[in-house]
Amino acid sequence: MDKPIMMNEKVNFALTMGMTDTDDIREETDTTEIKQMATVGSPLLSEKKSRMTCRNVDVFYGDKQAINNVSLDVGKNEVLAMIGPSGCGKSTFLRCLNRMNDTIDICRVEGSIKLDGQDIYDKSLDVVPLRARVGMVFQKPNPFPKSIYDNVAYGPRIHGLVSNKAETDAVVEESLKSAGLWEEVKDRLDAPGTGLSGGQQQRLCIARAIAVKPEVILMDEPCSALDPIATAKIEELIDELRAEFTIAIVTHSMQQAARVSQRTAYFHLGDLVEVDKTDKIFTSPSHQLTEDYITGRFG
Amino acid sequence: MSTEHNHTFKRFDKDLDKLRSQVERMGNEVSRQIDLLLGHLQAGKMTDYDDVIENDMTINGLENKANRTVIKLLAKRSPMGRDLRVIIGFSRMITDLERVGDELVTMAKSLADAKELPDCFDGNNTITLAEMLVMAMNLLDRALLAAQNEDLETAQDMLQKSLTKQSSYKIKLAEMIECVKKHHAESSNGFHSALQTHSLQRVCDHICNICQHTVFMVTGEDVNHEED
Amino acid sequence: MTNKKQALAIAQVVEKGLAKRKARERRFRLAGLSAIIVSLIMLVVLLSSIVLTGLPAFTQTAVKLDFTYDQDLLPSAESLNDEVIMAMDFHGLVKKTLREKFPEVSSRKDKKQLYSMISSGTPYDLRDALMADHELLGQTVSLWVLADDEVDSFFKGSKTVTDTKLSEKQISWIETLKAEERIRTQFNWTFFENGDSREPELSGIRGAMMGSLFVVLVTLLLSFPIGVAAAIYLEEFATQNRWNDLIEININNLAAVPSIVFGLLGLAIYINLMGMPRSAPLVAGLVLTLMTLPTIIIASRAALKSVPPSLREAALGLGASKTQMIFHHVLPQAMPGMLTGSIIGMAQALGETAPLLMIGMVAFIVDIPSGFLDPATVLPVQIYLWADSPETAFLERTAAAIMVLLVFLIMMNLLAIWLRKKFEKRW
Repeated sequence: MDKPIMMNEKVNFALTMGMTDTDDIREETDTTEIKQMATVGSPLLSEKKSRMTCRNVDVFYGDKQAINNVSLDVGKNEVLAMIGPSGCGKSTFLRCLNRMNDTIDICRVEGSIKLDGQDIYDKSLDVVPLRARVGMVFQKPNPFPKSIYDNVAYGPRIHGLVSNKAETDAVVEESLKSAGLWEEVKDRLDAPGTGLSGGQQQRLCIARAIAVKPEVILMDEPCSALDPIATAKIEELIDELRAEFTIAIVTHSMQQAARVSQRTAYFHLGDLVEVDKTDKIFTSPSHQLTEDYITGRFG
Repeated sequence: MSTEHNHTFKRFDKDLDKLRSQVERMGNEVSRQIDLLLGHLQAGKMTDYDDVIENDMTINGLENKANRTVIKLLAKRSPMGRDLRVIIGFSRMITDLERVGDELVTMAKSLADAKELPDCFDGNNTITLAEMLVMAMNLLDRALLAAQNEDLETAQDMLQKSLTKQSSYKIKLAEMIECVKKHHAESSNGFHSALQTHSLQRVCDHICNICQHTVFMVTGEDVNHEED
Repeated sequence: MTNKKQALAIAQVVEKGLAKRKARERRFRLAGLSAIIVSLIMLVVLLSSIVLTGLPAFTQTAVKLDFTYDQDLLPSAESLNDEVIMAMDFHGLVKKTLREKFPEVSSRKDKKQLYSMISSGTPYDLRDALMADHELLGQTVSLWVLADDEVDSFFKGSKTVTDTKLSEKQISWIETLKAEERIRTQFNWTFFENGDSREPELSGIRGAMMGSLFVVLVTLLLSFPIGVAAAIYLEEFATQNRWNDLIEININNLAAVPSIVFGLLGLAIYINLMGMPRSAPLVAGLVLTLMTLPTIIIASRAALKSVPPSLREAALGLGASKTQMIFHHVLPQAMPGMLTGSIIGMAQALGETAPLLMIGMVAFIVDIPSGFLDPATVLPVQIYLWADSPETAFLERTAAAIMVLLVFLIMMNLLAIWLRKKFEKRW
């Protein structure tokens, strides 16, 4: 059965007015900047409330377009979850926010992405301090093959945030405490970071990310490689971190998105279909595509 | 929009259908309960109401089964969106149906002990208990059908017309109560009549709840109508 | 009932086939085992033949004689200094001592035979002793001096009575010395202290060892940094275009070029064009650098490629610059592989002969090289030169030099393994 697609406003209007020949409409709409989908819900926030603003973002891998005209705001001190089927572009979009896509040669990003009003793709902006302000935690825990201490201290050291051992010690302790790992490792800070369990490694990566005091933390499926208990601990941690940081999390688990986030964005084949309060998305979403995805009617 | 099938998990659809049919059966049993009562009334035999009690036990058994299905669905499927509303909606309806069944048993017991019916033949107003029961049965059937079909319009229509104070059921019930007050207040039967009218009131409330649950299933809104 | 029969029949067929399969497996395993055994036997035969031939070279025969530093040696009543000592006739002293030992020797032929029993380097030893201690003048000292290589071979037993070149008289003199306990075998320190010599008993590998050391040092100091830097550039910074593909293909091909070609290149460019001294460790090092660079680059690139991208992403995600990512994280992680590749390259360089022959290291070098520009030779070339000589003593020494070279190679490989383990354990 065909799923009704939300059409461009103008097209909708034209059809209701009885124009059956869509060719005419296409000519008219080609000149507008809005391409296919108009996002349902509330993707944008007020300037006061948003930490990062994205407008008309397109991402191309060579000739193939991965993200279509996405406009989305990430609010201050909120957890924004991004859900959607595999290959829908949510990870790609996440990686745009800290310019990690720069490492991929064939990737091209268009549109505007701003952090606190500053365009992060500005030619004059150095990507290195940007990544200190927008941190990232990856899907598979990837601590450095160094000691736990050095793992957490690396970021502050290279950015010059600490100048002596005492300061470094303080930052390491604070970060590990915030990540809920301090009690478990305080006696063995010299042990290699790779010797911890999966859940502990991921918390170490989170500690490492927050040691540089970022404003935004991006998390790309942080729990997908972890067991349920480790996952629960990380979710608890995300909830606590929200007080200090803004968090954008990509997740495959809708239940996880429902548990940790305040706003949820649903991506489908590169389009941003719906963004709204998490409670609303998961009890009564507005768009049929969203409904189908969250109820498991994928086929 | 009716709930489509074609979950990726085929079992999910099967489980949902199972819940649906269990609720349908429960509804049928409750309808039958009313029918049994009517039968007794018409035959004039109110002392022997074992069949009503037995039927209520069937209804209780169905309630337990349906509740277990709900628990299984919630635990296994972590339902969201429409699925979640449908399951919660049916879960609430199960409770309401079971209560209706209880009310009918109360009524049956009361009728067994009562010396006379609360039927009213007062001038223009002729209201019999049987009549009220028939109306209730019709309302119940309509509400349950709307629930099975997720028929929002019918449910809203019922809430706005058939189940309000202005509805014929409520008006007739009000008249019956007036009648009972006037004629039966003195007699020792007043207690039973009051009980029976109260049961009629409660049955209407539960049917109203069922319609509200239907609205919730379809729209996600919680609708509370004013209590009398 | 037919089912049971069928099952039985099937079982029988399987049984028959099973026997054949097992037999085939046994044969295959036997073939593999015998291949290993054969190669082990050959290895053992090779090693033992080398060791058995070379072991005698580690001992040498010495004769104890009493030398009188007669005042007569001094031409005039001058004070002793090096110049004066150099002019003294120590050859005469040796001959005189021998005559005194065996006074019965009279005929010229016999005297010649007597004199030839002692190493021709003895006079120089006497001179050096006097230079070291001027007080010796006027005294008589008993010194153990080296015997001639023929005496040495005979006394050690490498040559029997039938194939020795010694005469009967010489053999009887040896018996006399033996009876007086004035002849013994001792550890052959000369082998490790002297450079090459015409006389086998005076020849040693020190020159070749020092030469090899210098060459390997130059090669290491040049090829490791250049190779690693090139690998880092190619792997991390170079963009994927045709130029870099071309470079990569050329590097891979260079690794397969016969080493003698590099020698020709060295001859043409370093020696002829740039006028560098022939046979110098510096030139040899430059030639071998060219030879080992491809190996190091390929090994280093593989090591860099093996660093997981998740590590790079982690570093970049924290805000490390590309250079920081490479030097703080990728390089340490790739270091074991790079070191292993380098040391294997060095071990290869240590054993190279052909290119070094081209740049002139085939010369007969006596002095121990003390710098990178002094003429030198290397162990493999020394082995090659000695292998040409007919004397039994040189035969032994060739095998001994091979043993020394093998020990060096084993030590280098062990070093590679240890370094790799150390780096792996650390992380």
